[in-house]
Amino acid sequence: MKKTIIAIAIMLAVTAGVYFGVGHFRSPVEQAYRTWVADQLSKGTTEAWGILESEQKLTGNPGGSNIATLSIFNMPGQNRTFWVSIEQANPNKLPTGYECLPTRYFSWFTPSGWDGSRVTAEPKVVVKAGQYRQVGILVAIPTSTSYLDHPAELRVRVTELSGGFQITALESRWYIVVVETPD
Amino acid sequence: MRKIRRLGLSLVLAVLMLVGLAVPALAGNPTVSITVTAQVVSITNSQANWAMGNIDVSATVYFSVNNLEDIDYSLITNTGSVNADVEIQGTIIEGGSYDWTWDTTPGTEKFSLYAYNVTAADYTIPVKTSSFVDIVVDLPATGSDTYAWSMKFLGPTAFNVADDGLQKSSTITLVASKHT
Repeated sequence: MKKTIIAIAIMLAVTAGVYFGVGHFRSPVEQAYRTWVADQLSKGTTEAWGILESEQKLTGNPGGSNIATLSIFNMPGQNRTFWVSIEQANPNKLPTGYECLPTRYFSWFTPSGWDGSRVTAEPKVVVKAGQYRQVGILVAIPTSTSYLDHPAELRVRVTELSGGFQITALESRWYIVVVETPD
Repeated sequence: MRKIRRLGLSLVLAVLMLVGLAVPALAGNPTVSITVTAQVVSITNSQANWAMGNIDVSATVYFSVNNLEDIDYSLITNTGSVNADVEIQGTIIEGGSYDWTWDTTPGTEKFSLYAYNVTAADYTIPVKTSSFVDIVVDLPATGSDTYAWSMKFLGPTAFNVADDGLQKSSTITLVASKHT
């Protein structure tokens, strides 16, 4: 009995040590956010905003679905309003072997509200100064197999609406690969 | 021997618990796998406004202070962690009785707008209303991470008198994405 308790204690200690210790699980997205904020603050930049996912690769089979996340952050300067939209990729900048995802396939992608609820229109959101928020985008690949073996790119664009004459927008490049069976 | 077995069992359980913590995304058995490249895309631009004031027919106006030609007037800074491509697009000019549309050369109710091209040393980058056009490609995220630019506006050769004295407006969008 005593040995069993010791064994369980060792097990818990190993688990807790790895989880809470030096190797605490910090996602790449969180790490990128922290690094970027520290970098901008060291430069004295407080008016910048950005998106954390420069690229995403989505691999699925016909009929598959999942929710991809886009993180928008805003440095401490002012509250900002953003509009998230699905856009066609630039045909002159496609990776080798990829094509533009036709706009008729954009129904695969449905932006969600901040609370995870499904919305019918592309969301318009406010990110307060010094905060970051995430928008979920439901990816639902049709059951049709017509897009097998046609790797494609699309862009998810975040446009700041609170600018004046000049507006800034940022894009996350999304690569879509439809396969017979999921990875 | 029993001790070794128990220790072995403990380690196996610990590994299983760690795996469970590390891959919570698999719990829902999604049929679309998502691989994220967690790098920041971010730019800023120094000039957000352009008040032209009253303009005459066939006017030439520079994106600058007091309409002086200043090719380094506005500054794009790459504040992200990846090299970026920056593209530009405008909108039609709205307001008053008649909208003005973009064209390669000015005309009746038509204007032209070009951004400065460092390579050509002239205003040759068309700021179209129909599509985005590169203004700077592969802008570094570190080091010399800024790009100075400006624009040149060529007003309509003629416009309806109903628009005389009425205010019009347009918007320019700079869009940045990771350079590959």
